[in-house]
Formats: sequence, C-alpha cells, structure tokens
Amino acid sequence: MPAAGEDDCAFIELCFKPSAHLTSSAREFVADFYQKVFAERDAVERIAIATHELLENGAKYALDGVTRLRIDAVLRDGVYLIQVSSSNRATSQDHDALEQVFEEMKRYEDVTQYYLAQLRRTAKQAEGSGLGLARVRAEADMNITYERIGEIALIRADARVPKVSS
Amino acid sequence: MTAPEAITVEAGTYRLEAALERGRWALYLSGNADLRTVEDLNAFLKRAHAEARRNGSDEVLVDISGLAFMNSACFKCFITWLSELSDLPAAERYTVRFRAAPESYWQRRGIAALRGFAPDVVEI
Repeated sequence: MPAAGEDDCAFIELCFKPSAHLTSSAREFVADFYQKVFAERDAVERIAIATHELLENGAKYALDGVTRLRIDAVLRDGVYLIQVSSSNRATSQDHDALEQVFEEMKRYEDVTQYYLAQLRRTAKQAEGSGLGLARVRAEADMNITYERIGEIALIRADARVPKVSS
Repeated sequence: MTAPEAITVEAGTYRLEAALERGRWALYLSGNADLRTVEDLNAFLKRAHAEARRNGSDEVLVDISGLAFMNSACFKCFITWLSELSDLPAAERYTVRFRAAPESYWQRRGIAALRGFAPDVVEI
C-alpha cells in the first residue's frame, strides 16, 4: 500500500547470484513489469540499464556471489521517484575500489565529460570495461551513490520521472 | 581481388552478421549483447575491421536496431574498435555509421556516447 503522501508505489526485490543468463532475465522481467507501470518507454529503459549494470557490478564485487536488487517507484505529486539499488557483501579491497570510483565520479561536475574520460580510459585497458556505473550515471541519467554499511556495499541510482498521462 | 566473406556468429541469445552490401560492409547485431557475447563480439569486430581495411572501405554500417540490450562490456568492444580506427592515419580511416531503432532510449544514448568518443569516425 502507498505510504502517507504517496499516490502509488510499485517495488521489486530480487536476491540471487547474478549469472549472465539470470542478469539478462532479471532485466527483461523488470522492464516488462515497469512497462505496465509507466506509460513512458524511456523511463523503463533507464531502469533496465541501471538494473543490468548494477547486477553485473554486484556479480563482480559480491563476496559470496549474492546480490540483492531492489527497485522502488513511488508516485508523488505527479512525479515517479525511482530508485534502483544493489547491495552485496564485499571485501575491504573492493570497498576501497568502489570508494575510489565514486570519489572520481564526484570530481566531475559535467556528467558528459566524466563519461568521456571513462570511455577514453577503458580504450586503453586490455581487460574489463569499468564502465557500468558510469553508464548508469551518464546514459540512464541517474544520480548514483555508494554507501558502505559494515561489509555491505550499497549502490543506489535515483531518478525522477514525471508521470505521463496514458 | 577476392570478394570479402560474409561473417555470421550465432549463439542462443545473439546473432552477429557481416556482409558486403552495395559496396560497403554492413554489420547486423541482434538478440542480447551481454557478458556471454563479449568474446565473440570482440573477435567479430576485429575481423570486420580487418576486412574493411583489406577492401579499402569508405564506410561500415553497424545496425544495432535488432538488439534488445547491450551491456557496458559489449560497448567496450566498440570502444576498442573505434579507438584502433581513430589511431589510423586519416587516409586509412573509414566511417562507422550506426543505425538504431528510433524508439529505443538505450540505443540512442549509447550511440551518442560512441560518437562523443570518436567524432571523427562515427556517424549517426
């Protein structure tokens, strides 16, 4: 049921070990579900990008291979407040790596310049892309944050999408 | 000069095709480009690049309209290709023209990012 002040809400929570196959399946399920919630296709695809990239990121960093994914969409005053979040247990080393990623992200005020810098950096890397989180920020247009809670790495991607009359 | 070969790579969740069409290489990607696709996509783009250079192509068309999704690891395959292409002397470069499904948000944004990365060789 929507909480006080909320006109509507629709959330999904999944917890699993994200193999390539299951990650794509989860993305497809999430996109199909939210296509029925939102009238706007772009909003659905933004959620799909964040879902897929956060799950793949979780697969890379999860200590026990398990990632919890949660997607919240709350309608308030004609605007959907969307949050895609992933959480998983991570090593101290991986927490440090994530902190560095987000510190660098904060140093760029211009999202496009940040993304271009990441694309140029990845062009010189033989292995891995390291583009997933940058893509959530730049292509899915979501504000992305990281929080360390004990050994849990919690990444949140937020967006506001005006409700379109269907 | 021998005619370039058509290239087809197909697995359960994706299909990568390249063929010569009206004098230019056309690459068609369909299905899901996720972590399962990366190795094949890398090899496919390397081969397409080699063929385009061998034949002195002016342009390569990349049609991604048939893709349901492409992850960032697969985007990196394009970054690697475009980086290599951009590093060639100007006289040896060819244009990479991307075709997307106009209603697809992720395709429009992804291609725009690739154009921002390699504006000298990417056309939309």
